[in-house]
Amino acid sequence: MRSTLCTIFLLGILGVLAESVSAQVSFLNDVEPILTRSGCNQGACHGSQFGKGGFKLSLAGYDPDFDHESIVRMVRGRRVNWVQPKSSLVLQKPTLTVSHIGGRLFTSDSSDYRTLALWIRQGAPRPNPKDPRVVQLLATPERRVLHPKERLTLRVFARYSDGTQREVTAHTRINSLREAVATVTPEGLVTAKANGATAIMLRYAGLATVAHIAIPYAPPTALKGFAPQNFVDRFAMKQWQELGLKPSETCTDTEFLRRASLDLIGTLPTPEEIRAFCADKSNNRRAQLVERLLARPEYADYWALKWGDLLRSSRATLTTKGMWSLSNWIRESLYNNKPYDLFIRELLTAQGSTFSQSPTNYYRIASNPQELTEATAQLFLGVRIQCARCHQHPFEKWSQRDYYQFSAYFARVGFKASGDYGATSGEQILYIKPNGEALHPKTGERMEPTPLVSGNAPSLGSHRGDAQADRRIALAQWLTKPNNLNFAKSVVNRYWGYLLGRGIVNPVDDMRVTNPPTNPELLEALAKDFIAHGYDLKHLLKTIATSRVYQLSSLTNANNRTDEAFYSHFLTRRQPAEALLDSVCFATQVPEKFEGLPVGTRAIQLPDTGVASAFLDSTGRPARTTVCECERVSEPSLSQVLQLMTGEVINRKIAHPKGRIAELIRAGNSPKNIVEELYLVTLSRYPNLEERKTALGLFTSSKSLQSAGEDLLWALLNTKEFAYIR
Amino acid sequence: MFSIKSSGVPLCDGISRRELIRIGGLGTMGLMLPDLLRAQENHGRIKPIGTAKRCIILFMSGGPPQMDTFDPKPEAPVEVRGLFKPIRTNVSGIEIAEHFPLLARQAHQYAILRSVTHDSNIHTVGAHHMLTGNPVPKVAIGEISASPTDFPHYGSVLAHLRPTKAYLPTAVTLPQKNTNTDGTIWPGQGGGFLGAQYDPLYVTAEYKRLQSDPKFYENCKFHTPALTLPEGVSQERLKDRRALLETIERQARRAEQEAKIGVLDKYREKAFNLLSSSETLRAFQLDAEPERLKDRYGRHLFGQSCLLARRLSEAGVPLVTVFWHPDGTSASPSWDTHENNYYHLKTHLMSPCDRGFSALLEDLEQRGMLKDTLVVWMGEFGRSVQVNPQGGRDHWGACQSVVMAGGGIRGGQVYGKSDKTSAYPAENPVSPGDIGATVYSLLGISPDAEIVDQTGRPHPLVRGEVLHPLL
Repeated sequence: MRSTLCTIFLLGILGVLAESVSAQVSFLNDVEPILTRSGCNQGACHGSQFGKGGFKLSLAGYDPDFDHESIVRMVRGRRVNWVQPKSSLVLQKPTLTVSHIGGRLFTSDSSDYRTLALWIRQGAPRPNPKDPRVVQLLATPERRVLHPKERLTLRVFARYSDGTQREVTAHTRINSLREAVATVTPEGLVTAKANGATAIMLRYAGLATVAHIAIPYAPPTALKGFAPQNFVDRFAMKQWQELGLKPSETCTDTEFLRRASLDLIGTLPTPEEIRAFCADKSNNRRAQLVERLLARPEYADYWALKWGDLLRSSRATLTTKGMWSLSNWIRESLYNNKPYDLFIRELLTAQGSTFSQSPTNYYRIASNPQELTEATAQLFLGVRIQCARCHQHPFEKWSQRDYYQFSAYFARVGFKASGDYGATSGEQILYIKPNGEALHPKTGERMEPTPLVSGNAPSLGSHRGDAQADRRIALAQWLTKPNNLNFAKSVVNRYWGYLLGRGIVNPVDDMRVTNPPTNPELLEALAKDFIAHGYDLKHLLKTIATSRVYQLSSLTNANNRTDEAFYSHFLTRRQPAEALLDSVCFATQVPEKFEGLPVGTRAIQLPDTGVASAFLDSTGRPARTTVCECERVSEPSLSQVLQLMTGEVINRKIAHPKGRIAELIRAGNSPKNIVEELYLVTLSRYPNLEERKTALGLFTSSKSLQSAGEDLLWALLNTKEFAYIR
Repeated sequence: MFSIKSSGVPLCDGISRRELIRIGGLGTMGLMLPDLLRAQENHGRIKPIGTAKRCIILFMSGGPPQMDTFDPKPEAPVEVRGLFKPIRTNVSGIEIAEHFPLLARQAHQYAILRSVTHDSNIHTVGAHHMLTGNPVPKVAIGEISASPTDFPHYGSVLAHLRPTKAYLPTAVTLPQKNTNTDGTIWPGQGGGFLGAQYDPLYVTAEYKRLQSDPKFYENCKFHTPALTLPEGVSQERLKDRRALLETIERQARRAEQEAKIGVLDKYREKAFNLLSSSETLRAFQLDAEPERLKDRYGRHLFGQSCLLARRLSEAGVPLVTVFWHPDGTSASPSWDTHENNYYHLKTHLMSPCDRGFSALLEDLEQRGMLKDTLVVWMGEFGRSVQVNPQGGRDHWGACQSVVMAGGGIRGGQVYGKSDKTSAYPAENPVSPGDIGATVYSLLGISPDAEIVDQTGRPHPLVRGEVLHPLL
C-alpha cells in the first residue's frame, strides 16, 4: 500500500518534472506547424486577406511575428488565458468547447492540444529568430513503384539550420496531384489506384517537396520494333519501358502531313501537296517535309502569332503604331530565325522610342516593376511568382523577399513622352532613371537586384547590376547564360507542349518543385541540345517534329489508352482559333476580309486581337491581357460548336457563289471528284470506300449538286477530325 | 476516359463538382493543380436561404441618378434636387420620382436600397463590382476592358456551379453585350477567370425607330444569332445534316479511340438540342406573347427585353441579364447623362424603364413567379449631386439606389438611407459584395463558396454580408 502510494507520488513528481524539463515550445517550429496543419491559416479561414470572425493569421504562417501578435495580444488577450490556459480561445475554439464556424480541429487529448497548452503555460513566447530554421524537406521514400491497391506510408523529415533533423509527417500538408493514380490520406498513407505516375505534394514550414509514385501499365519490358530516331525517342522509350507502356503505331503519311503543316505553320496542306507527298517514296520524306515547312513564310506568321500572344502585343495598350512596331519586330525576328537568347536580350534591354525601338514596348505592356517581375518570371523562366507579391508562395519556396529582389531589376525603368510624332501620338521614350529602388513591402528594406534562382540555376555571381548602369543588362546576362538551364527549359517545354499537346511540365508556364516534369531527363536533354545549337528555335522544332514520338498515331492501343502524360500516343488538340478560321477559308475557298487589312490577309497574320472577329472570339482567341498560356481557350464550348454549325461566317462561305462548291461544279467536276476534293481540303486525306459511298449517295438523292455539296462540306467542317490536329 | 471517384458534395442534379470537371473536358491524367484545387473547392459554410429559383438583373448601363429616380431629395437645395418632383407610392412613407408613375403603384413588391456604395467613378470598374459583387482585381485608373482575370458574372458562376441540364443555357444576356462606344467589352458580364465557356448566351436585338417619334420603336426582333438557322437551312435540312455528320464520324471510326475529343460531342448534342427543340425556340420568340402584353411592357427595346427575360425565366433559364442599350444622342448615351440630364431622363430613359420594369413585376406576380424570381435593378454607380454646367450629372460611386424584388425579398420597404443630398450613405451602407451575398444566398448558393482562378488561387464568391433585413 505504502509503496503504491509512493509510486503514485513519485509518478506525479516525475510528471511535473517531465513537463518542467521538457524543451521550450518554439513558436516557429511547434506552434506554427499546428496552425498550418489544422488549416487555421488557410485562405478560406483565418489566413484570408481579411481574416475570419475578427481573427486573422498570415497565410500558411509566412509571417510568424504577425501571427504571434494576433494570437497573444489582439482582442485584449482573450485568445490566450495566462491564468487558466484551458480557457484560452486558441484552445477552446479548435476543440469546439465554444462554438467555432471552422468546426473541431483537434481534441483536448491530442498532442497538438498539449503542445499549445504547454506553450501558453510557458508564457506563450514570441517567435525566436535564433530558433533553427527548416532548410530542407525530405520525403521517405522519395520515389516508389507500386501495384494497384498497394499501400505505402510516406514519412516526411525536416532538416534544420543547426544540422538537426526531425520527423514532421504529422504536421505536413499532404496532397496527391493526381488522385486518379494514387490517393493519400492527411497522415501520409498512399493507396495506388490506377496506372500512371503522380507526385505527392508535401508542404511544411513554407517549403514544399514531392514524393514520386509510379504504377506501371504492365510489367516493365524491353520495347521491340521501336527504332529511335533521335535522343527524344530514346528518353521517351526509356520511360515507356519502365512504366510498361506500349507506344501506338506511327501515324500515316497524310496524317503526318496535316499534323506537321498545322503545327509548324498553322496551315492546311493543299490537295496538290497531299498528292505529291503521297507520291514521294524517299525514306526521309518526313524530315524533308519538316525542313520545307520551316522554310516557308507562314512559319514566321504563325509563330509571330504565338509570340504576339505571349508578349501581349496589342493596340489597346501600345497605340496602333506601337503595336505594329512590336508585332513587326517579332515577326522579323522569327523570319530571320534570330537566336532565342538574343531575341530575349534585345527585348529586355531595349531603350528609346516605342515607335522605332520596337522591343521597348515590352515595358509599356507590363508597365510597373511588379507586372514586369511577374511577366518576366513567367514568360522566360516559367515561374509564376504572383503569389509572392503579397505572401509566401503556397507551393514553392518563393518569398516576398525573392519577389521584390527580382523586381529591383526594373526599378529604374522610366518613360517620357516624345514630341517627334506630335504630342498626342502616344510615342514614349524608355530611359534609365538615375535612381529608383524596390522596397520590401513589410520591412521597407531596400532590395538588392537578385535573380530567381531555382533548382540548379547558376547563382548571381557578378549579376547584381551596377548601381550606375542599366540593371536590366545584368538580368538579361544572367537569364541567357548557357548554364542557366531553366531559361532554356522554359522555352523548350512550351514548344514541346505546343507540338505534343501537353508540356513535360504542365501547364507549360508553371515550373516548380511541386509540379514536376513527367520526364525530367527528356526536358533536360532538350534544353541542353537547344543551347548547344545556339538557341535555334527552328532546330528545336525540327528535333521534336522529326522524332518518332511526335509521329505516333493518335489511335490508342489496349495498353496505352489511359496514358495522357507520357506521350505513348499523340494527344489530339483543337486547331488554334486563327488556324481554324484559315482552314475554313481554305476549305470553302472564300477568304475572310478583316477590317483595315487587305483582302487575303489570313487570320494567323493578324498583328493583334484588335481586329474584330466573332468567329475568333468564340473559338478562343486570347485578348492578350495576361501572360498566361491559359488565356487561349481550346476546350470545346457551346459557342464554339454553334459557331461551326450555324455561324454566319461558315454558312455564308459554304454557300458562296464563288466558293469551293460553286467553283467545282462550274468546272464540270463529277460528284466523285467533288467528294474527293472536299475530303482533301478539309480532312487532308482521301475518303475511304464507305465514305465515298455515303457521299455519292447524298449527291444522288439531293435536289441539286450545289445543295449536296453544301451539306457534305458543312458536315466535314463540323467533324472533330477537321477541327482537331491529330 | 475514366471518371474521378467523387468525394465531393453532389450538386442538386446528382453530379458532383468533380464529375463536372471531367465533363468539362479534362482527362484525369491531365488534371493540373488549379483543377485539383477546383475539385476541392469549398462549398461554403454559410447556409444559403434558397428562396429564389431564378434571377433577372436589369442593369442600367451608364449609371442612373439616385436623386432623380428612387431617392428623391425634395428638401435639398435646388441645384441638387433638380427639376423632378417626388410622388407618393402605394406604400405610405415611400416616395420616388414623378417619372416613375407605374413603378409607384408597385412599391409593395420591391425594396429600395438607398445606401449602396463603392469607391469607383469609372463605368467599367463599377460595372465589374456590381455585376460580380467583387472589385476589379487590379488597380484601374481609367476605363478597362474585359479580361480573363476578371471575376465571373453571377450567371457564369451559376453555369459553373449549377448548370442547367435542360435544352437551355444557364445564363442569357440581352439585348446586347455591354460595350463602350469604342467597342471595348465591359468586364463582369462573362466567365472571367472561370473561362469563356461560362459566358452567358448573348442575344442581340434588331429594331427600327419610329420616324414620327424616335423614342419609340417598332418591330423589336430578338436574334439569337447562334441559335438562328442560316438562310436556306430549314429544320429539316439541319436534321439531314446532323444525320450525315454522324454517319461520317461513324465511318471514320476514330472518335471512340480518341476519348479526349469525345467531350465535344456533349456540346454538339446540346447545340443540336438548342437548335431543334421547339421548347427552346419558343422561349426566344416574342411573337407568342399577346399584343396587349407587349404594349404593357412598352414597345421599346428595354420593355421588349424585359418581356423576353420573363419568357426565358419561365422556360427555365436561371439567370437573365438585361442591359440598358446605348441610346439617345451621342452626348448622352444610355444613363450616362453628362449633358441635359432632365431632358434625357424624361424623354427616353425613365418612361421605358418605368414601363418595362413595372410590367415585369406585374407579369411575374400574375404568373405566380415573383415569389421565387429575384429581380435586381441597378447600375454601375449613381450620379453626382451637383448639376454640372452642361445640365448633366457626373459619375458617382459613393452612393446609388438599387431595387430588389421577389425571390424572398420583402417588398414595400426602404433599406439604408443616404445623406441629405444623396452624396453618401447615412445609414446602413451596402456594398456590392453585400448585394452579391444576398443574391447568391437567395439563389441557394453559399456566398462564401469558393471558386478557383487560373493560378489556383481560391476566392470566395463574394466578400459581403447577406442583407437579412430585406427578407
